[in-house]
Amino acid sequence: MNPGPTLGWLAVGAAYTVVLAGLLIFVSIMSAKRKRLAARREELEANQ
Amino acid sequence: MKSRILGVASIVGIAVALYFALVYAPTEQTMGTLQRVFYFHLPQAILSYLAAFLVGFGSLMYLATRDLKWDRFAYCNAELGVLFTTTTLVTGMIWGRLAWNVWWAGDARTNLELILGLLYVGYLMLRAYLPEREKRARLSTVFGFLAVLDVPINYGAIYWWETQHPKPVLGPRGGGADPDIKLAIYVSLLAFAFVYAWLLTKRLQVAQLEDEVGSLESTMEAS
Repeated sequence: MNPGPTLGWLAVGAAYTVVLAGLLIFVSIMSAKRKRLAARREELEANQ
Repeated sequence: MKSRILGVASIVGIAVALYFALVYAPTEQTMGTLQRVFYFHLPQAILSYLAAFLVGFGSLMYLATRDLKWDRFAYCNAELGVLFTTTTLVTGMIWGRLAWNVWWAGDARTNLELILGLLYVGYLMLRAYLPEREKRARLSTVFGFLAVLDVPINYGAIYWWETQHPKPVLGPRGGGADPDIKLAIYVSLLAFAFVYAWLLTKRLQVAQLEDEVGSLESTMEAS
């Protein structure tokens, strides 16, 4: 079924947003985790 | 340095892929503009399969060598598997809602993609419940191998069972897509492959840090 150009473009925009949002969420979680771990490592090394 | 090059290639690749998907590729006759969702959906699906093979490879190498770097490789790919199966399913649902008038067709292909995603989640959940590092690495390989098993069944589902899912347009059994459409697919696939490689490189660095902190904590507790 062809929903027409308006709904079609909306779907394309939504799909691309989902993909980019997924990537951004993954990168943000990874970056936060890296900062937390780096701080923890420094703390542990200082206590050794 | 490698990570930075991959990062730049990912950003440039995504911009180029966007141009090919939205401007360069002609509007498909049957589905119209909606078909352009496919340029994002297909690379996500292929990379969700790739993640399974890499989890399986990492698991196998871990069992063969008992080197934890392979376990890290496997679980970093499992996390990327969760990401790419999620984006595959959601972009597919957006397309399905307008093409088939349902959010979830419940056919073999979509159900097996969901199962693949759940296997990745199961793999990561199992790890979360196992505190002992070696045991965690050894037992989670089971889920890694199950994910590998899912992929050929998932791929063959559209040939073996009655499904609504469209047949592939690439490969030896693919349909006759317009060459410009095929080129846009290949560009998009290459762009997201760079993204995958970049995310994996970054995630492996964090995983290495996790193990370093874990071993420092064990040393502190022992002393």
